[in-house]
Amino acid sequence: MKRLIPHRRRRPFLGFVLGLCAVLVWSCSFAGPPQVDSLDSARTALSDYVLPKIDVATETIPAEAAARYATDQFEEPLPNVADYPLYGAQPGGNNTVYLEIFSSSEKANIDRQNERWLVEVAEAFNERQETLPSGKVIQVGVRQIASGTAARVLGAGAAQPQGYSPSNDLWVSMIQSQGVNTIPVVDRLVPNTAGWVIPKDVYDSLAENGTVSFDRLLNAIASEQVTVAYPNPYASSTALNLLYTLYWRAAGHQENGGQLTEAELQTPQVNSVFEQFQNQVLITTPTTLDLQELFLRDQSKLQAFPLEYQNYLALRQVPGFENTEFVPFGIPHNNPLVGFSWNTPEEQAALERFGEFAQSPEIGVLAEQQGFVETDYLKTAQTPPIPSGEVLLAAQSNWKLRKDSGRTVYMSLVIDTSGSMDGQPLQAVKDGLRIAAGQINAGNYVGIVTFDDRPVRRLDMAPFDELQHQKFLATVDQLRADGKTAMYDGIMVGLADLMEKQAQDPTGRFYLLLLSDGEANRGNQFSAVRDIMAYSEVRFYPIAYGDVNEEELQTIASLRESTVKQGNPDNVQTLFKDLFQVNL
Amino acid sequence: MQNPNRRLLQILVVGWLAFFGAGVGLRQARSGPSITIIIDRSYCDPSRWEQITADYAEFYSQHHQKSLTIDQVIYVSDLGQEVAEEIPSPQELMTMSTYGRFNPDQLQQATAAHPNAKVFACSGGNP
Repeated sequence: MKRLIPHRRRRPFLGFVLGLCAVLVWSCSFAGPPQVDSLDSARTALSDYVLPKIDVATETIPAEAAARYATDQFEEPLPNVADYPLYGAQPGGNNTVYLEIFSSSEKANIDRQNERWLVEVAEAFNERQETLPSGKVIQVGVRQIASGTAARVLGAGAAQPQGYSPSNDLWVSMIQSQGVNTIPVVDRLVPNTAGWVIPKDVYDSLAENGTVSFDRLLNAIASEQVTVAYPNPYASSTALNLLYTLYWRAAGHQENGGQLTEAELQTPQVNSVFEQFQNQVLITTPTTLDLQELFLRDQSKLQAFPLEYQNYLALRQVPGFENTEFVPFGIPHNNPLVGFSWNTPEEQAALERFGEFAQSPEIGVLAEQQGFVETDYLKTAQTPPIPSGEVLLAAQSNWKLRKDSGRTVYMSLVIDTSGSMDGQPLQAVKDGLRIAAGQINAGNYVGIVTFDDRPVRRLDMAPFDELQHQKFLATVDQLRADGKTAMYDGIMVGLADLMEKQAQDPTGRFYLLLLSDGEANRGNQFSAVRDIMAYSEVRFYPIAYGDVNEEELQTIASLRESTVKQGNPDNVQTLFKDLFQVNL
Repeated sequence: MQNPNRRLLQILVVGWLAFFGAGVGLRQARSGPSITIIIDRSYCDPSRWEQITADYAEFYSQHHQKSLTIDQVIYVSDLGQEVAEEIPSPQELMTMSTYGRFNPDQLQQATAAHPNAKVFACSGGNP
C-alpha cells in the first residue's frame, strides 16, 4: 500500500474510496421499485416501495359523529327542462296555438345532419302557417331531450308539453304507469331498429345460413364466446329495449308472443339467463359514445354493443366501423307521437294536424335520407309486445340489484381538494356525491381518499349500509379545499386500499374514480407509477374537472375499459349519478 | 440372392410395422365404444346439478381409463346448442352455471342428431 500510494496521496485516495462507498450505499437505499409486470409485482411495488414514501394522513369520521346524518334527506333533483334546447317556433305570438314536443335526440339534434329530422319537419310545418277552424295559426317547437330524461320529468309531473316523441314505446308505457294519461297521435313517426353492432369476423363465425339472429348471438354470449357492453338502461332507449327483450326471451315468450310478467322476473330460470349474460358484460357505460370509443380501442375485448340502425348507418362511414354487421333485436323503435290529457281540444287538434303533416310522403323521403328506414327485421320479424310500465320499472330495479351477478363491487373515490377546488367547484362535487350515494347497492364497498398537499384517507373502505352511508355523508360534508395537487399520491393510496381488498376477494370488481381539476404538482408523477396502475387490475374512471392534462388522464382511462369524462360544476352531479348507477 | 443387410433391414421394418399395428389394434380393442354426451345446461338446482356431475364423473373416469371414448360433449340450453371445445372434467362441469328454461325441443333436436348419445339432464328439466 505504502509502495503503491505515496503518503501524500493517501488521504485523497481514502476520500475517493469513502465517496464511492457513499454513492453505492445511496444508490442501493434509494433504488426504484422493482420491475412491475404482474399483479403480484404491482402489489409489492406499491406496498413496499411507493406507499412508504407517501406522507398519508387519516382523518375518518367516528360513527357517533356520523349518526346524526339522515340518509334519506338527499333526493335527486329533477332536470331543469329549460336547460334542454328548444328548436323550431318559440312560445308566444298572437293568435297562435303553440305546441311544444319533447323529442328524443336522434331526431332533434340540429348539430348533426342526420339527426335533425323532427326539427326540419317542424320548421317546414311552421312555414305553412296552418290554421285551425278558430283561425289560430299552429306553431310547433321541438325540445331535444333524451327519452329517459323526458319520461322522468313527465312521470314526476314537472312539465306539461303538448307532445312527446320518445325513441320507442317503452317510455310511453312507463309514464302511463306513473299516472300520466297519454293520447296516441301517430303510432310511428319514423321507423328505427335496435340491434347489436358486431365485427364482421365474429358475425361470420356465428352465422347460420348467412345470418345471425338475436338468439344465436345470445347463445354465443351465454356460452362465453362473445363479450359485450351496453349503456345505462335507465337512460338509453336501446339498452332498455335490450334488457326487456333479454328478460322476455329468457321467459320463453318468443314461442307465443306473450307478455312478460313481474313474477317471471323473480324466477331462477329467467334470472339465471340474465346473470349468465351479465358475466360477459365488460362494462355498462353512461352513454353510447363511450361504447363506440371502447369498441374502436380493442375489439378483442369488446365484441358487441347495441345501437339504433339510423346511428349505425352513419357509424359505418367512420373508419374502424366499416367491417361490422348489425344484429337486430327487440321491439321496433317507432318514434311514436303522443299528446296528453292536459292538452286543450285545440292543442290536441293542432298536434294531430302536425302528425298528419309528419307522415306525408315528402317528409317520409326526408326521414329516409336521415337513416330512418324500415329494415327487413321490422317487416318480417315477430317482435315482442309492448309491456306494462310496471314490468319495465321492475326490470330496471332487477338490473340494478343483479347486474354484478353476486360479485362485490369495490370503489375508491379519489377526490381533488387542492386550493383551486375552493368555492363552487368543490360545492358541486359535494352536492353530487351526496345525491349519487343513493345509487350505491347495499353490500358494495366504497372508500374516500382526498388529496391536496398530501393524500388523506377520509372514509375507510367498508360495505355500504346505513352507517357507512351516514359516514359517507359526514365525510363529504367535511371536505375543504386547500394546498397543492398530490394527485398520484392520492391515486396510490386509493389503489392500495383496493388492492388490499382484491387480495381477499379476487372475484370482486375494483374501480377507482378520480376527480381532479389540475395537473399533479406534488409527490409522485405518472411515469413513476404507471406500471403499478397498469397491472393493478383496477379500472380507472377519470373525471377531468378543469384545466387538467387530458392526455395523461386518457392514458389512465385506457389502462382498462374506460373513458375520460369531462366534468364541470353544472354536470358533475349527473356524472356521479350515472357512474354510481351503472357501477355500484 | 439378396444382400443380407438389406434382408435384415426388411425384417426389422416389417417387424416394427407389425408391432405398431398390433399396438394400434390392441389400443382400439381396449378403448371400448365411442359416445357423444349431451348435457342439458338449463337451470338446475345446485344439489341436482351435483348429482348430474357425479353421474358424468363415472363416464369421464372410463374415458380417462380408455375403456370408452367420449367423442364430444354438446351443451343444450333454451338458447341453443354448443359443442364443447374440450371434454370437460367433472370439476369443470361442477363449476359451470346452468341457465334458462328447460327446452324439450332443443334437447330433442340434439338427441335426434345423435341418437346414441348419453344425455345428462336435470331430471327431465324444469318445465
